[in-house]
Amino acid sequence: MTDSTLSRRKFLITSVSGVGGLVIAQSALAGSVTNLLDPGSPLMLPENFAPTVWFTMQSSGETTVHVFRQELGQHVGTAFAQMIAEELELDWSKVSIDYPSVDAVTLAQTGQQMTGGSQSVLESFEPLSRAAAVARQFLIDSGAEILGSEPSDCYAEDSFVIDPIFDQRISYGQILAQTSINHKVQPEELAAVTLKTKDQYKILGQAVPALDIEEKVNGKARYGIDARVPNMVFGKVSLAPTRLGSTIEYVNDAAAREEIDGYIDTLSISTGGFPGTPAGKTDVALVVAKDYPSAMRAEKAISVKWQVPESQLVDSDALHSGAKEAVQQGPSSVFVRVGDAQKAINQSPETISAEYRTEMIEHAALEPRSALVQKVDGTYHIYSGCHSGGMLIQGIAAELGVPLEKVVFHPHLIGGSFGDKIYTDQILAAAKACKELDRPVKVMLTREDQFNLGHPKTISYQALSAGINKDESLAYPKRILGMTHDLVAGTSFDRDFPGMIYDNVDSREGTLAPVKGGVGVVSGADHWYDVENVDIKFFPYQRMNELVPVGAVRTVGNYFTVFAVESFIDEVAHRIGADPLDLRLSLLKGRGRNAGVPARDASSDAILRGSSQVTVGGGQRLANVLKVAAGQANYGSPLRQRNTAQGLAVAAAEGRHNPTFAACVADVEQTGGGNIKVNKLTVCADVGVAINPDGLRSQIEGSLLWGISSTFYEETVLAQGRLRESNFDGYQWQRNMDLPELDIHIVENGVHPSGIGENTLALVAPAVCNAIHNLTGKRLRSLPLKHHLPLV
Amino acid sequence: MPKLTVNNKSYLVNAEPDTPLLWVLREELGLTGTKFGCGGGHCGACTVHVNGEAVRSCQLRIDDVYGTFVTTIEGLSSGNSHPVQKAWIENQVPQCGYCHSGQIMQAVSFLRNNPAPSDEEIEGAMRGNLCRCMTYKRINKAIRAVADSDEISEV
Repeated sequence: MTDSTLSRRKFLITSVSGVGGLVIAQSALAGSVTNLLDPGSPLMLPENFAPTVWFTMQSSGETTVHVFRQELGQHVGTAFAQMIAEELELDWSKVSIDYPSVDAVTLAQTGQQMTGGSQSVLESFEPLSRAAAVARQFLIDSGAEILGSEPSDCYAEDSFVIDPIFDQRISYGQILAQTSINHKVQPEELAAVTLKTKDQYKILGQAVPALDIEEKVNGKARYGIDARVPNMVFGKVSLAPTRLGSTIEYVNDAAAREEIDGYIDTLSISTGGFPGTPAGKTDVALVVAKDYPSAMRAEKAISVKWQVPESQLVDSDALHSGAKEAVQQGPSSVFVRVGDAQKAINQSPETISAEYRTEMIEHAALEPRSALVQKVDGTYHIYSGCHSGGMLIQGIAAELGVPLEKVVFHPHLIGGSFGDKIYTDQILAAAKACKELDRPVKVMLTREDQFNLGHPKTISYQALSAGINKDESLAYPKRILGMTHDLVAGTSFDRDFPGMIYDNVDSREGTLAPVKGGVGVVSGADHWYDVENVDIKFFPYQRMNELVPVGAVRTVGNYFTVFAVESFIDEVAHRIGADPLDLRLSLLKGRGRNAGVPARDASSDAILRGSSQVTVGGGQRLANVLKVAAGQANYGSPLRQRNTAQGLAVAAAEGRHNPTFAACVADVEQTGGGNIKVNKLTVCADVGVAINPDGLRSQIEGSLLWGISSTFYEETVLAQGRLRESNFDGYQWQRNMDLPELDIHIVENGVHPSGIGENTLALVAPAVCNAIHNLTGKRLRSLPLKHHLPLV
Repeated sequence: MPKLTVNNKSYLVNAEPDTPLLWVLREELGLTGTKFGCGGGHCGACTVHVNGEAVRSCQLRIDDVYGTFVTTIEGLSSGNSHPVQKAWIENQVPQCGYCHSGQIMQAVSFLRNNPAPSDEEIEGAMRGNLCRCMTYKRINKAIRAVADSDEISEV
């Protein structure tokens, strides 16, 4: 074995003797490599090329991309692999993905890596692309060294380093079989590297088949619910009569002990959606048995005496009337203020006001939550699906009273989340039971448990007002003098959201105003319309949170805020005599803060790139996608059938800092008996850069049908403090029937990719309601629409 | 102990007579490709074939299945070679994938009984199989593709 140091790049090239057939175990904690067949072996192993945590290239040239985000059905791993393969110049057939365990070491290396908010691609594109681009140069330098070529003469392509001058080439596998590249990518190298531009992409922008599809059609995919270890026992929760607030007085399990073969014990456990925090603490009785059917039988045989506080016995009606009162009485935060909207409204010739209401919506992911926790040599191993492994191990370590190093999370595929697997009540219950019983415990929620232990989307109440002037000599923007928007909703996270106060509509810079508990609730209210005076306030509805630990459900607050904003702008359009398309386009000129970030560097005039550029173009991009969608949908065509109409909506979900600019035209038809059928949704989304066009199309298809589902059918109701719906016979959602045509168009500005997992969902409700208004004259201001239908 | 035949293999089963087939498949036999979704026959995630017909395995008592031939997703083909699995890959149908064992088993049984379905018949056959990722469009497209292909005779 010889070492040589290349002074030019200061990394180590080590030649190794070729060996094969060894069993290699890589410890997650230490990163050390052990030959399990002969731990004392002096044999040198060809070392993997792992210059960064994001991927490992084996000496064969096969590359595994390590996906530190969770797979929920968005094929995030394929998107990440495309990013790495593009800059590393990989042969796509040599790329695979895995989902590393999360422990104290990986947490320190990678940070939280929370999966959510449609941010995975947006946030990871640069770090992954840059790391791969730096690593590509290591390979070129090493390959050139072996070939005896000048590195500057060489380039990389399809997992080869190629010297075109001497017409010679060497594969990555051949390079790594002869050398070990022991260099870790350094921060200054990441900063210095130049990334490819869109016209140079070979793998990005291709609809490559997702790397995880094959195992999802043959039963081999392993989800959290499929985890198993020897000697595990099974836990079934027995739940309180109310979603929150009830406590266990005692458990009588005499009958279970007598009658149920395999019954072990019932534990009283305090759990919650966010381990390590006081939020939404919930008592459960955990019935443990040697197999799951026995646990289910035993749960029916035990009786739990619950202490139920009178204050929790609340119905949805009372919850809604309380929400409306909160606007008068409740504390509030300014979310967005531009100029002085109240003053403008007071001075207006006319005012238009409307109230909008939405119900709680469940995640209803098809895989109920589950968790298996096993203790090995003092370390707790968690096998489950969860959005944030980092937060999870921190929370579980705190709850169990063990050091962070003693908890490891092994991610499993998530069988649908939509936010559901952010919440880890069942993991905490399994961890506590594992500690108490000193054996592996797997907790599985039944469908009924899943609903009753749910973290649904909050109800909302919104009141919007605008001061208007119908003087037809004024341009449309001048006919809207000011708009106020009061939003009442429960909070999803105990975190402030950055609200902003601006002097006027042309201000680019504002003053920060923290919105208490605003994360995951308020963002969609901050529209991109150039309205002269705006006042948006958030009233956190504490009563909601006392009764139900409401949470993040796909597209979070955009569902109700975009519904209100886009319905109201239509109402205003009709009132001031403007076509809703014309009014929107007149207000989407990108004035002041609505311009987004500057496109070019002030001194060099070069186009700026990177994740901070995701807002570039701002309102102008929203106008652009609206024009495309309206055009593709033949908006305003005189050829339209008599009993049909169209409605529009635009939105830049998930929010002002991570927008995907999108527009929708809904074609609706009134059928016999006053029912409404959506015939077609025409959608255009500007995603910046389309990493995988088919993958993002698939996400949009799902989002739009989710939009139809929540617009028409979905709600869960609070009945005496309990979430009423308990299975899919009661909780209605979109089935494989009466599906609208989906006409999807993608626009790319080529600067930076934005998210697509949920960003078009919120367009559906307002587009449909605006179409229904255009068709019938009826303005529907509450969701779901099933309560309004048939229209009479 | 009574014998259960799954994917042409015989198993000795030790379960209470009222245990749902689903839990025997998943927990006793380790055939976890068949999924638990609702336990009430509402979602179709647990769909398997009993004597070639699609059934909800969460609704069948194990006692009623002895002596029959059960096929799960694991037994449908080797190497994803079944025409319906191939169509699922070709159309990139799954997102999270959780419901698709059940979707595929439902679709196979349907196409065997109705090799030349109308679009309405496809929807009618599949409406009991829920997909929360809402991949319905691609499910229907994949089934249509199989029905319209030469491989329909191999379903």
